[in-house]
Amino acid sequence: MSIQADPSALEHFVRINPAGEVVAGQGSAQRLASLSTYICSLADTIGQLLDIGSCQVMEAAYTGGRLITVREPDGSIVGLKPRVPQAPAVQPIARIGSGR
Amino acid sequence: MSNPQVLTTLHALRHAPGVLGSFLWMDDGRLVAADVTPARPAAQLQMVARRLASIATAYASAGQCLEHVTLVYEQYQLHISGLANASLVVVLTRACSLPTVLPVIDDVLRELSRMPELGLATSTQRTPVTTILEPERLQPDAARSYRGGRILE
Repeated sequence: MSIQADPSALEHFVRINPAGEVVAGQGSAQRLASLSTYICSLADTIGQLLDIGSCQVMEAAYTGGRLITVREPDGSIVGLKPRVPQAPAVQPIARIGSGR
Repeated sequence: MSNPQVLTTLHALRHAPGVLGSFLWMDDGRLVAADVTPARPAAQLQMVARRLASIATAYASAGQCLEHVTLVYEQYQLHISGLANASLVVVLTRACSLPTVLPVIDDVLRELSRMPELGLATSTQRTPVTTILEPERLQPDAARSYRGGRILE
């Protein structure tokens, strides 16, 4: 088992379904949901302007951590902050809260 | 549109594997230089820059000491790093290994910060307004910023 599959490895986490509803979360889930949705929207607009498609992963690196937003194929948006700043793969993390 | 000295500096990024181009804009929205292929109209890059600035501002308001932002698309990545009053966007292939390129980007940022005509300060960090990186501690009596987040001590 990798650390990415462990929900306790996440300080904050939120899953937003394609209808825009928060369906799972922990920590600052509501604030993370607002931020993730806003960032996704802007990133997609940039993709349209540059004709490079929709944004799939958005990551902000801070001195003490990272915020990661992942758009899944079904349109769900996952926002998370790993407890370990260097946690690598985001896709396994994103499955948390999906019920899969 | 492009400052020649800045353009030369940006062009050095192309030597790094996976780098397809870059552009630099000031926080006031002015596009300083663009080295992207295929060439994009300045107006288009301005619109992109405005939205990238909004993303950086939103992320900066969410945590302390934002260092950089990466947007990953199907075939490309956009890497945004900030000087105190300007931002550099580097266009990368999706397969590009960011840790490999980051030292090169840092070198270019340092070189840009030494160009007095740009008036770029050396700080690469943006000031946070509030934070979601901090655990939510309910403090009903605490003062709040206009964004509704706590004002940090």
